[in-house]
Amino acid sequence: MVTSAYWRTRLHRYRLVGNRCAVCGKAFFPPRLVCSYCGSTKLEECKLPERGRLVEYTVVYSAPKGYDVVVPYVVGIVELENGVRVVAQITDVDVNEVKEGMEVELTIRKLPEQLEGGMICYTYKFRPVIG
Amino acid sequence: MRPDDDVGIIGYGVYVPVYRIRTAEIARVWGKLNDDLPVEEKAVAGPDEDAVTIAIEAARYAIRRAGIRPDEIGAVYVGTESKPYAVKPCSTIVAEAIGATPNVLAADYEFACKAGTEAFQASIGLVASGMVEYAMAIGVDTAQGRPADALEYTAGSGGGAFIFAKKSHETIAYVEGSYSFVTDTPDFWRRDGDRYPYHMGRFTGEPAYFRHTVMAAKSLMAELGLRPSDFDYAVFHQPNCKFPLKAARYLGIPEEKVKPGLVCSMIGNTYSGSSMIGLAAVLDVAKPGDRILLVSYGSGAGSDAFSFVVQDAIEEKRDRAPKVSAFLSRRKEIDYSMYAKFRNKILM
Amino acid sequence: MRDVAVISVGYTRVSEHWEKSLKGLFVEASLKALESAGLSARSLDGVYVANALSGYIQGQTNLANVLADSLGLYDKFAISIDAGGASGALAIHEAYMDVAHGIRDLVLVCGVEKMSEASPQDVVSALTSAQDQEQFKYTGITVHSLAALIYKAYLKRYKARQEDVALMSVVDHEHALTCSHAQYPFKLSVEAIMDSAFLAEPVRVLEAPSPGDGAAAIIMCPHEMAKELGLPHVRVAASEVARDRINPMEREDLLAMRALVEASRRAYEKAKVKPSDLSFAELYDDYSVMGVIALERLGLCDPGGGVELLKRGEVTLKGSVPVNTFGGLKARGAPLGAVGVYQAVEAFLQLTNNAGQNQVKGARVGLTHTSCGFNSVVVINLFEVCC
Repeated sequence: MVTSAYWRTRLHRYRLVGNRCAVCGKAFFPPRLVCSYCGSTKLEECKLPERGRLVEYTVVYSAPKGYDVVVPYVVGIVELENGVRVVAQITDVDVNEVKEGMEVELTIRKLPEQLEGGMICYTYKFRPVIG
Repeated sequence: MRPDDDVGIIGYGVYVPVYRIRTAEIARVWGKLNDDLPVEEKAVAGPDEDAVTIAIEAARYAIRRAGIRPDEIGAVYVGTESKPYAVKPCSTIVAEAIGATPNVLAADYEFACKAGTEAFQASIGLVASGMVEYAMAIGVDTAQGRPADALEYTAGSGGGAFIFAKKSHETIAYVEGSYSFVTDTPDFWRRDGDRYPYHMGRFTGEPAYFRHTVMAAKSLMAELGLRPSDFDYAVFHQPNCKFPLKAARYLGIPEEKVKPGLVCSMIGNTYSGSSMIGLAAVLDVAKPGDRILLVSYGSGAGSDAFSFVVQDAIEEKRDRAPKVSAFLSRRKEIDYSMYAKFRNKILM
Repeated sequence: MRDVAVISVGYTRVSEHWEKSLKGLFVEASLKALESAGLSARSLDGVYVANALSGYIQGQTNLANVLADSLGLYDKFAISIDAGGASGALAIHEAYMDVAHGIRDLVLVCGVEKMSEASPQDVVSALTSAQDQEQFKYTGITVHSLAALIYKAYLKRYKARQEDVALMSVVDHEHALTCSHAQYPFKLSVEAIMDSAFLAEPVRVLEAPSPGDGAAAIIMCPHEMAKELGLPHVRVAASEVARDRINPMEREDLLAMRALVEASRRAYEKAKVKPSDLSFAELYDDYSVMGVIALERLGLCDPGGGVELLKRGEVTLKGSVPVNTFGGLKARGAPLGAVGVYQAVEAFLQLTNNAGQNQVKGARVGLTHTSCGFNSVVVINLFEVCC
């Protein structure tokens, strides 16, 4: 992925911006170009809720290059407050304390992979709610 | 320095990474005795964190407390000395992530540990002049000390974000005035390309930290016609637990007015984040009408002093986001080997 | 439409072929298939190359033309088919359609993959590259983690035990013991699987294939031509393709595997067979749980009943529905884009009574299930003995 491809996805990576079909109402994350339910091309940008519940998770041990400093790490399905499901890393948790049903919220974190020239990738993850 | 129009803080947020290393653990590795450690433990950025991610977290909380839309923010300043990029602003990433782009001014500030309070002054000026409605100033660092160096015991990670606007019923605390005291005093520096900073040991004390902190505070009080006893709280830059208390003694401010904002024993010296997290800790407990003295210190060297007066809105807004105490109690202790891995100190 | 037959097969062992290139593997398998049919490469009307990762691992694009060149074919049609793990079966589908519709007569389908040249970490990235990269690249979400989430959903819904699901891999290894082209012809116990490390919890290393190199080729032609040539052959009874949301996490039911259900339903209908008529099935068990789910969604048992089938030994060579008769993905090996062609080769060996010690007695009709992206692309090919 070249830098421009990463740049194009910044809104969904940084702000959890998805879209919603104006015809059938289905919401998508990441945003889609055509509604995968009704085929409509009338899709409206929508900001997704930043909080949700961890409905399922796994602990990843076999990971891509660069991930040595972060394995084992947690990947989970987060059901946001509006019902949209997002698959993402769950951070700031020990692998033995992560639990289904855990309340989590959006956080933007840096990934171990770097783009050309050391360009840093920031992307959405979720972490336990603080306070 | 007093703005023509009254300006105040309408929202604030902090973020401190969850990981902690005890200084006793660092001392164990380097064969030092435990009896005179500068702080208990320090906050360590996780492997997926840097100054940008911490700034974004703090900024998002500040927006939550301010109750404004991010696209209403006219300026985003990030003050840090741990920029992930030597060239490429942190502020653009933060502004984009919080949703303040594209109609926004964004810039990074750098002045050792006082970059965040300089961003305060710039924000106050922009707002007072009417150039922007809301300005955000962030102070954040993921400070690194050379292994075995004295700084390794304190160099921590964390940050705070503050949003300024003209004084209104939304104001949490308004600014009475600010004063900066700056000289060319080489007590601490990091050359371009160097990984760790260099410091002049005890020279960082009297001629550097204390002189600038005390002079900025005294000059501010003189300008505003205030005495030390007029302040209910005092927050200083916190390179360790002793310096802020000693600075308070020089100024005739009792310890109990400093301690509510003194957080370095649990998170270390968060550099540009240090005095800002201290200010947030005070706002977490202050009552309307309380007057707060804030004095930062940045090596090189200079201090920015401020007087804030807390307003009614604090009561309703402080619970909109996690308080500093929530970050102090949220901790995962790591040992030196994990710390070395997280902070990229292992040759790979 | 014309009836289509497979008249010959050629293949290499699945292994780490350090001394053989993509071209070397392709030429070896293709020439074996041609030789065993007594044909020359020049008699072919077209070459269908199946491969998933050459662009990623070898940096080789335009693969079909490069490989056809290596076979000395210049005036013949050549095309590459890439659909991740489904590539091999999809290439067979394309060749089948062309022959059935009279577009070409004598065609070679060769699946080839060389994964040993990538580091284990790069293989994780390469496998994950079959998902939408705009979504998955630079997220840390891997194919193994998606498999793990499906696995957990399966264990929960059917109150199954991992020790039982893992029997899928045990069966694969048992069948590979007597398979000369298998990558891992050794016995594997449930205990060894459960003692192995996690790829992504709960998926164990020994529940998924390791990277392998290999090439498998088949020659197809109209049934009439096969009879004229006087070669032993099998008939392609159906070749059906169905698709689903590429990201399994976007599906309303993680375990429904709609494309698998749909493609198999159409294939059964076309071939006029029922699941119970199958003499054997070659499943795409890229993870043990995916093999178990395939048993169920192909209609060989009820949803949730796959584990019982495994426990009762029904899927072994002597059972009622033998599966993965030469070791499946886990033990025969899974050179990604070639898998579907290996499965077809194995079906040919079974239906021509050439499966040696792995022979399913009286095999009449066999199914191959090949997929990519957790059954987001499913190809069901049905082969049968010619009357």
